Amino acid sequence: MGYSLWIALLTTLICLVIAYPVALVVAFAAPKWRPLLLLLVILPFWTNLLVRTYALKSVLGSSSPLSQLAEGIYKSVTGSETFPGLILNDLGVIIGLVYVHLPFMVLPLYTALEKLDRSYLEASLDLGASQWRTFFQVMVPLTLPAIIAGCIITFIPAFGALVTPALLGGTDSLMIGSLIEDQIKRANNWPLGSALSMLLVYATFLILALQSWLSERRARRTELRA
Amino acid sequence: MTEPPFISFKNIVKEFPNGTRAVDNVSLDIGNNEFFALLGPSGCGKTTLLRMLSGLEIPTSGAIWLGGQDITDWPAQQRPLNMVFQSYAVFPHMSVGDNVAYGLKIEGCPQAERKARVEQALAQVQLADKIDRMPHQLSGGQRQRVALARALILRPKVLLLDEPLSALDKRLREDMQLGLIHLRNEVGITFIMVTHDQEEAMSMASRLAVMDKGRIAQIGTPKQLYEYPGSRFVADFLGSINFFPGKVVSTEGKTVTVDTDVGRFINEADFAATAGQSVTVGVRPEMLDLDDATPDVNRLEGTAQETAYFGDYNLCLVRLANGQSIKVFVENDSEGRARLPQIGQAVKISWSATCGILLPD
Repeated sequence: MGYSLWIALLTTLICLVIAYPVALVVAFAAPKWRPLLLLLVILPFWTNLLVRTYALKSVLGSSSPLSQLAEGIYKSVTGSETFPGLILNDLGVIIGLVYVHLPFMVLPLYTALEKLDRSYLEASLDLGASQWRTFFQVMVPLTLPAIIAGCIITFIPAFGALVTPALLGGTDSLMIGSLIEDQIKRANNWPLGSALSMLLVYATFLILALQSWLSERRARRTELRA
Repeated sequence: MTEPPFISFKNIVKEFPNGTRAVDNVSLDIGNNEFFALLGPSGCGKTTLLRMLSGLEIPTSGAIWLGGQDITDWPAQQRPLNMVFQSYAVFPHMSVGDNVAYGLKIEGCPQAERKARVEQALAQVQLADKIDRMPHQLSGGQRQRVALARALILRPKVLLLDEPLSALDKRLREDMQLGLIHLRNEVGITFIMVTHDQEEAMSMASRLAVMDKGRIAQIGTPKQLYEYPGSRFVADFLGSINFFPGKVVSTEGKTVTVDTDVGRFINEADFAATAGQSVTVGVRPEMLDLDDATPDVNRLEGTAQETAYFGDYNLCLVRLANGQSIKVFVENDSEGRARLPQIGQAVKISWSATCGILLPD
């Protein structure tokens, strides 16, 4: 449970850090390029998750050029003799989950950035703010609802992921999805499997409740200032 | 040696990536402490010109000078000018006080001084009591004043206003016009305003430039542009006008006789007209008289076709024999009420030779 939480949080965070610049590029691209760029973002959805995960497995597998490149860099940097590999460990799970869930993060961010009135950014620059300051003090706060939404719709499926950790993870990368599968299919322990499933459902409910509480509090706070 | 102009656009060209030439070789000088207006129809390049001055757009070619320095390559952050955006762009996630303090915080102004200056800036726009409000709790007019305070608190050398009154209703707009004139006199800096509303431009600006298709059509005081427009475009854009195209018959000093489709007119010209030249006689609707008593020049006859009541005046549409309709304003005073024709009634119109505008084609 704790392990699943940790992996899902890390996945969400990495997704956010990668997706924000991607969404920025798409939203600020010339209008004629935008549909193509968006298409590239959602293109992976057209292929089955299982197929994509197998593809990732061969792209990142120990005999792949990418893995060999990473091995070379790893060994020369750390001076270590053994390379843990890109997949069949926690790193593999995270790479896989980030890859699969990235569009879930990009799309809400893109929508928010595209709708964002450019004059807010221009006003900030005009008032002497640097690009970074404008980003953190104007752009991020104004897209905060989209950031929260993106994090939730990334976190929830990542938390209960089954296929990705099963294929890309190591023997000890047991996320809650795999655990439930094990209990029901192999151990034939339906009560424990069901209990674990409910745990997942509760956790999801908890996150959604937290989100609605946060947004309500934000609305109330702006009212209180009146 | 004459002092260089305060702000100077030198042969500015702006082409957008899609190939449109928004600003086409504009040169323009603006003096210190002027209230200058850039006026023109939408898409004439006036906003682009303003944005290039602010640093939010980079000219394709040409140079911009401010206070004796070439600022063409300066980023927006470094330019000593601030802008009030058409949408006001008051940050919705910050309180009024935080909005106004935004620029000062960046400058690293110490907290105590910052607080005092924010209070002073808000007092200047009559919003001192709204310092803790959020922008969504303010009216449009109040939000605009927040934007004004936010820009003026940085003590810019120039304040840029992009369509400052277009989002306000008519009543508020009139108050704000006077408010802006008052504010400019108080802070004593250059204001440059972009607008498509000719009344707004004429009533507020000390000088204005009329723009058309990326070029400057004419520059002058409101009175110069309204009474002595240099082209049909300027004459037509600033207020209502009736046009009678024709040819010069003879000239005698400044007095020019012109033959048009609807008769022979005598007018004064402020350019050297020659016989045979194609010209247009323009007459503003308020210069036309529906009165028989006027001298026997520049007479027209027609039928009253339509009248519209505007409260302080009436608009009367008169149909001439050749089918052209012309506009006549009849003031709503005791005389005007008596003169206002019924629809279908035959009317006589006249104007004196000094009241028309002669425009070369």
